[in-house]
Amino acid sequence: MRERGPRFPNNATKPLPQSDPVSSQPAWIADTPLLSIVLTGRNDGYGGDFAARFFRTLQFNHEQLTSRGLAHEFVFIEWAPPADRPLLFDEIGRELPNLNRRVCAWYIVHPEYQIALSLNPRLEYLEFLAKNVGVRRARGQYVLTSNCDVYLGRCVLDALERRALEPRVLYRAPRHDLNLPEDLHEVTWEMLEDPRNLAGPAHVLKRPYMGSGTGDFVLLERASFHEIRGFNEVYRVARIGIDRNVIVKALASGFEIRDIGGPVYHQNHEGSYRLNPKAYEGRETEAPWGDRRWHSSGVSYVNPPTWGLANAPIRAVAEHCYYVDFSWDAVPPLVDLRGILVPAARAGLPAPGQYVRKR
Amino acid sequence: MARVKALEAEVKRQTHLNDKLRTSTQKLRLRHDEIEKLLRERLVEAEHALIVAREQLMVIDAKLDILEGAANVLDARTRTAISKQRNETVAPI
Repeated sequence: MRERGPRFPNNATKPLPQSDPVSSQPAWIADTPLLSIVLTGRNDGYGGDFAARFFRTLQFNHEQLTSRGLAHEFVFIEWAPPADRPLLFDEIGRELPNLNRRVCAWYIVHPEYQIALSLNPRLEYLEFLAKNVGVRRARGQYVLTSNCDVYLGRCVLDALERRALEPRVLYRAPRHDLNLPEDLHEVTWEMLEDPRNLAGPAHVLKRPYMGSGTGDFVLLERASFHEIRGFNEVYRVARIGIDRNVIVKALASGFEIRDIGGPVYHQNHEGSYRLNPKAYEGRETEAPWGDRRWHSSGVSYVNPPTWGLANAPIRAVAEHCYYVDFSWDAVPPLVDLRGILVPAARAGLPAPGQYVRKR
Repeated sequence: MARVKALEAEVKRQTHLNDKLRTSTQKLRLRHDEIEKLLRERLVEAEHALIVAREQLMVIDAKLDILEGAANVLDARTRTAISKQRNETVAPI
């Protein structure tokens, strides 16, 4: 077993040129695809065969976007990878040898960040901090944060193809949970759109938050995402609800929340929160996703300007693959109480959620 | 005749009393409306204050979560550091 620590030694590669301080866009990248899809994961077998689900989804989405001529990139954050398992970056090369690496920007984040940033040792994965690393560095005109087992639906692709997206609008899509065989090799539209594969009633987005499965589909113009400084990095006590919280932040910032018009598809798997949300009822503080009763609908936040590990040293370790080295300079303070605030009241917009007694 | 006069006087007295009561009722009705309006205003203010209090409570609750989390993290780090230090300084028996 390898020791816990960076997969790539410090002297293996040269550091990257300095980033643009305003947009944090690396100066050595000039192209601007229409869409960046920000994903995060690691080779830890989450929900069964995580890697197989991920590669299948990646291939499907890449093929659909390519067939419609939609310029895109996948920004993948391999967050705190376990030292005793191969990197997903290495696995994808073997599993999808035909995937053009140019459509990927792969960031491997030093495991020390998980420890240094966590305010709750039960959280095994700071998913939205990982996604912020990708949002910060995404090059696309629009940035979609999603999950590794989410297939884009036709309406989403249609909206992209029509170039129908607008700035300062946060687009949401309902998630359709599907029961599909575990050992699938290829996914087709017939499988995704067959109502017999639905695991339950098709979900409909409801105003004002259009929540539920929010983490599976948050689509915003890149500049707008930067304006709100990504997902909440101040409240690092829970993972659950951080996706809903970004909707509150967007509303408080005067953005519109809009249904993109059709679903995305998610393959059900073991360990999914959706399958057993009450697993920790009565002992919510012990949940590996944090206490789901926190006021994610009632508070807003202001991330520090260094959100998304902006000050982290990054170096190229392979083609389109970068290692995010650990530095305390990149770690925000443990406590930043001024970063949590009451959402701005805006005429015609919803009042925040009701206060729920926790203890 | 005397009986008629007495009755007329009584009618006059009753009419006067009636007018007086009517004026008084009107005044009371106005006062009632004023109080109702005032109560409605106070209710709106109280509801608004409640919303503000709830919002502040949520913010305070979230901040307490952060402080509690930070205290636990620092506690764990301190214990680890102290244990490590002790192991380094205590000579083996």
